[in-house]
Amino acid sequence: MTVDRFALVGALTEELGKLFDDALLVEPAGGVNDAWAKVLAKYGVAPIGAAEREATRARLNLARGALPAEVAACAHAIANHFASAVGDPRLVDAAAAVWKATEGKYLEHATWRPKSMFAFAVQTAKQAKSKGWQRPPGGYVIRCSQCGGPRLAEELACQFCGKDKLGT
Amino acid sequence: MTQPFHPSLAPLAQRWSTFLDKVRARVQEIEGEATAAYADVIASDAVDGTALSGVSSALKARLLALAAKVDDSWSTIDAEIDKIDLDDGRATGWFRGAQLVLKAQFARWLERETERIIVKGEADAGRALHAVALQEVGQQVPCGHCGVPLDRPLWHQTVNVTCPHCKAVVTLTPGTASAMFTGGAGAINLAREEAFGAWCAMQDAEVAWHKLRHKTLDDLARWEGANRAYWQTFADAMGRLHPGWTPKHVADEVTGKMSWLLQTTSVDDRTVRENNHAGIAAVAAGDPNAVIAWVQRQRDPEDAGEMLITAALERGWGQHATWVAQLVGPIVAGDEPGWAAEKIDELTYYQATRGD
Repeated sequence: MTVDRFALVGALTEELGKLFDDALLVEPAGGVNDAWAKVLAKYGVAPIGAAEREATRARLNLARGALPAEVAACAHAIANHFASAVGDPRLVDAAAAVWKATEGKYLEHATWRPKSMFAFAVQTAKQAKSKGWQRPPGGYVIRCSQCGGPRLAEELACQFCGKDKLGT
Repeated sequence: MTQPFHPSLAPLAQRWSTFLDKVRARVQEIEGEATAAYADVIASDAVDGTALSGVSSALKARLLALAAKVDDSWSTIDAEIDKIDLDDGRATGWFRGAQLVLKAQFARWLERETERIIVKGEADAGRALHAVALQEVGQQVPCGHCGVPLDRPLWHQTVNVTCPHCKAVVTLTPGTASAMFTGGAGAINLAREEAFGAWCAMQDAEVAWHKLRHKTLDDLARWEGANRAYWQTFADAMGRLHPGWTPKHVADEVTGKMSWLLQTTSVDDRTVRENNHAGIAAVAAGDPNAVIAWVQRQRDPEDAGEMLITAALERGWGQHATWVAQLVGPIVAGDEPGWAAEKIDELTYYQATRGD
């Protein structure tokens, strides 16, 4: 690869990196704020319709950032621009590969939420459910440890063998 | 008394007010998170109270941290007030006092919000626990000796029953939910919710009580009354919610909870309060002869006169304070012209800069 080509790939990577940074700063999640509208306009990408936007945002559970489809379209536009500048259509495929490799990371950042102050308590509740120490109403009869006879009176002496205390 | 503030202090007032508004907004956000967490915990397990305590503790810790942040921010504002040099030396004092009042009001609001959110969340848990406990109420239990199904005379506690079939003494134990509702915090949480209005009134009464430098027996009666009203409301609710709470239990609860107050605060400084009571009652009645007679009976009449003026001011009786100053001035400081006006000015400033 020539020096010019290295410089070109470096510039492409830099522009894609800036795109991802800009995309992650978009709030509310999955929306189009002024800054993102400018990015879309710059790359000639049409914003996704409101209904699809809301459905995608909910499906991906985005906490921040632009919709991945819009980011991908911008990345594609950047690649097209570089490809036509150098007359090498393989750059489009290269940009698509970069986006494919990056999309997972982008979604990871876009869906990350700080842990709630109540997360530990909620987790405790979910774990405690499996402890199984809860009991329905019950009943038992104390028995004589000597002869096994049941308790027949409030007094704890065995009425069968005379042992002075039932139980242990 | 409201004083117009110097224009150079306005930006600080704005900053302080904006900051407090932001903290209020944050408290609302935290309430939303807490409500969801309580709901999550209750849905996961209505019987186990461990996680419930965890939510309440986390909430309390977070709101205490916010209160600490308010203190820190006040230190910054306070330091900036110190840097402002005005011709009128009292101007910053008035201003600081007014901002401190806002801070104190905010602290009380935050305390009340903390209590309200926790009481609501824990009461929701109490209701869910009660619903589970009610499912256990009518359940029969087989005799541990012969297996005949037995009715349980008490659903909330352990009781011995003689089996009508085999005559064995069977020890019947409540279900976990019933035991947790009555022996744990379930009923208590619902009673706290019922008594929340009385708790707020008690908090107001506490503030009023601590604000007064010169307390009377009437003030004491109001403070005691607010305490008693809260504990009575709480205990009455427990009487309705807990099958083991008899009218005697309710009465004993109120007696027990009131005992500390009655044995300490109510008897502390009794003589001073009785004396204050006589003087302040004379002021309230607008009886000049009684006021003068009371002042003249005191060991240090000038100090006593100041006390009556302060007592009137701290009760918001501005006109009474002026009247008392004019009345006792000639008696305690006959050779000092302008004593009354000077005292009113001095004590009003002191009152406004206390910051409570």
